[in-house]
Order: sequence, then structure tokens, then C-alpha cells
Amino acid sequence: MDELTLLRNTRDDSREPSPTALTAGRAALLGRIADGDATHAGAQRHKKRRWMPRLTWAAAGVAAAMTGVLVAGNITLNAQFAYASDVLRSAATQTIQYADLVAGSDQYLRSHTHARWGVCDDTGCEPNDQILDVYMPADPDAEWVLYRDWGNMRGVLTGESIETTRAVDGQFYGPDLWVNVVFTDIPLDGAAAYEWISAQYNGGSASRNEDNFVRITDILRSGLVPAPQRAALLNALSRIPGVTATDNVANLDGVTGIAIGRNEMLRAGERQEIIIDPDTGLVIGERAMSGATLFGWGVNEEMSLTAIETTVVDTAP
Amino acid sequence: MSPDNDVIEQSARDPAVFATLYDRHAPSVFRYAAQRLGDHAADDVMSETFLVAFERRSAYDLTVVDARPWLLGIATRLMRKYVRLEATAWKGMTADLAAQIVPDLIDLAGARIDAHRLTQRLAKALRRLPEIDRDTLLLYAWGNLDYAAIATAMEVPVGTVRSRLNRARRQLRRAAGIETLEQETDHGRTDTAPQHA
Repeated sequence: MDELTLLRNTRDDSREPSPTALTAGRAALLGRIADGDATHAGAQRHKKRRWMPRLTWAAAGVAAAMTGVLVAGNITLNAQFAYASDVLRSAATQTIQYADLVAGSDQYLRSHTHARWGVCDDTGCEPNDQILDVYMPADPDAEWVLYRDWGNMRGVLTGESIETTRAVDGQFYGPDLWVNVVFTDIPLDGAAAYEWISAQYNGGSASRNEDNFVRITDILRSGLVPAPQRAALLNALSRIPGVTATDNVANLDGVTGIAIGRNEMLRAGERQEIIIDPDTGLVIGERAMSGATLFGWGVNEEMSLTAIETTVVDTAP
Repeated sequence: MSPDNDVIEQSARDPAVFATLYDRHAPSVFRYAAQRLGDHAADDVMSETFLVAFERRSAYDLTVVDARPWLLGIATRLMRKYVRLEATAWKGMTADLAAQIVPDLIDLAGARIDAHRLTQRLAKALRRLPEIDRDTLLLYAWGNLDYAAIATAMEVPVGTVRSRLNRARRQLRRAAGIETLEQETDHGRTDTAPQHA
């Protein structure tokens, strides 16, 4: 054993920051982020390039209606939440009855994502379309495959704009799993699934409810969740305070569904949504709506939009 | 879960996403700082590191997936203003360090030196290391980074990291009274966890 190893052996991994220090540090960071947003938005106001079409007057009407909702108070908010809960629980029921896509041996379940995410610099934001095709093999020991077209960007693995990579358990970019959960760990009862996800909260996000929402939608948007677990997660979503639903929202490829989202007041009202097919419970897309004038986006404009499609295929690239 | 570089990229248009990095890496930054400075100052370093990182995120190399070396590099530079505090922390730590290191080093030194004297010599050698060598050594020992990651953290070539570690190693050996030097050839970490942790 050499001296460097000896010194390394004195490393103390048992030290942990106190919850108070962690909370204070996070609050300081969020405060700086909020300050930066305000400064940046002011500086960029005259430079901004709007890359998504402005929302229609109808959408502006929705925004006005939302303002009205806030003024009207909890009664209307509760009605919205009740509607969203009803939509989600209905979708959960439909999901259980749906004959789900199941890959046979030697086949793959393929999740195809067409994403339009903005790439921003000091002059504003431009749209960049990416394609992500994830091939999950039926054989749990076989390698997953990711085909990724980065659009106008360079890939992080090879520097090329198109990359194909393989890894067991979908560990394409390091030790983290592509879907950060073992599907069979998800309780099949909605209430139990909600308790399960809430129990894993460790202080992240702007609020516990937001974090629960994000962790559930992170799982669902993979497009790879089996129907029983998907139904439980949709039911769990219906239990998160502040969740609302918007009918007839089109994904990036024009397929319509119901957008399920939350307005997070601690995040300047930004709204993250998943778009689901109410008949199958499958996630068919995502979108993010701005809650404030930031980085060239006006209030209630689309900041990002995706389309997700799940199919069974015989081969992977 | 998105990798760190994706999070940083996304934070350009959605700054609040940057808080994800805090949730992932704040404890790691704290541990590294706390071992060098003590818990109280480590709280401040942990917080300041992410404020600086947020301000500098546009300069982050998006080809680097793991942001931890970058964050520990920022923390290391921030710690330089705590030089007096660190000197005190080093003294306080000597006994603990010696208790763990000395028996093994005595074996290496062929029991030619008693434990008390060796402890004093090692503590002095560690305190007297040039700042950049000490930073490199402690990123390796307590930051748990490999050579390439230290190079990223300190913004120097890997060869420079190797030569700095060799230099620090020579001083520790000299302090321990071990004259035989071995050529450092290991480019990465071999032990994944400290054996005494």
C-alpha cells in the first residue's frame, strides 16, 4: 500500500451536511437563480427571438381564465383539481383494460421521442429538434440500445450529431439507469403508489408536491412502463395537490391527448405537463409552458414540446 | 434521470433546473470541504460553490457528463481564502490521521522510526506541501477523483496532475524516511472506497 492510498484511506464518507445547512444552501441558490432570471430577462427583452408561435387568443383566454381562477379562490381551483383527478383515474382504469404492448423474446419495446428543446445563448433561444429511440430488450440481461440524433448539436459521447450506443439496463451515460426505477417495485394500488413515491422524497425540487409530480412523470415519459404500473402511477398523479388537466392538446407530431400538469408557484408559475392518451394511459408527449417573461418567452408560451410513441420492434440498430 | 451535462445545458433556458445539481452533489462537496476545513466553514463553501457554478455554467464543457470534478474544482479554489482555518484543521486532524496512517507507514519504513516522530514529520510534510500540490493530493485522497477528473477540476493536463502527485508523494516518503521511490504509473483510481471509512 503506497502513501497516496494510505492518505485516501483517511477519507471520511460519513460526514453529511445538516438539513439546516442543506436547506439554507439551496435557498441561497434559488434566490440567485431568481435574481439572475430577472436580470437576464430585462437584458434580453429587446433581443428575444420567438421560435415557437405565439399562443392563440384562445390560449390567452385560458391564461386570463387562470388568473380569474386565482382570484376566485380555492373553490374553482378545487374544481379544476377534481376534473384532473377524474381524468387521471379514468385513464388509469382504461389502462388496466388496455391490451398493452409486450415485446416477445428477442424483441424490443421501442420508445421513440421527437423533442423540440430550445438551445439558448446570450442572444436568445433557438429550437433544436432531437430524436431519441430507446430499445428496451425483452431479455433483461441483454443490452439496451439508444439511437440519438442531436439535431444541430454535437453528441456527448462521440462529438457526432448522430450517436448509437448500447448498455445493459440503459446505462448509456454512466451508472444511472435510463428509467430510474425497477418497474416491479411500483405498488399496483394507486394510493400505495402515491405513498411509495412520496416516501422517497428527500428534499429536492421547489416543493414536495412538485418533486412527487416530476418523479412520477419522469418514469411515465420513458414510454416503457407496463400497463399495471402505469395505471397505478396515473392514479397516484391524481392524488397530488395542484394537478390540473387540459383537453385537446397536440403533441409535436400533431397527435392530441390530455395534458396533465402542475403550476409551481415557487418556480414562477412554470408549468410542466405530460400529454396522455386517455384511452391507453400511454404518455404521448410533454410540454413546458412558461409562467413568466424569461429568456425570451412570454407568459404562457410553449418552451418545449415533444412527441412520444411506443411500439414493439424485432430489431435494434 | 438526466446526466449532469444535460441538466446544465437545460439550465440555460430553465435556470431553476440547476438546483438539480445541488441536490445531487451538495453532500459530496460538503464532505470534501468538511474534511479540509471542518463542518462550519464547509457549510459556507458548499453554498458558495453552487452560487459560483451557477454564474459560470455557460462556460461548462458540455462533453463532460459528470459535473462533480468541476464543482470540487470550484470548491478547492474557494477554500484558498480559508488558508488559516485549514492550517488549524490540519493540526487538529493530525492525531486522527496519524492513528490510521502510522502503523502502515511504520511497516513501510521498516520500523526504523517511532510512531510519535513519524506523526510529527508527516503532519509537517502535509502542512508544508505547496498549495497546488496539496490541492491535487486532497482532491485525490478526499475528493475521490481519478487523475482525469482532477485534471478537469484544476484545469491542467493529466501529466501535470501526475507530476504534482509524484512530488507530494516524494515529500511524504521523505518525511516517513522511505528512500525507495517508485515510478507512478497508475492513471486512475483503483480503490473505490476508503478502507477505514
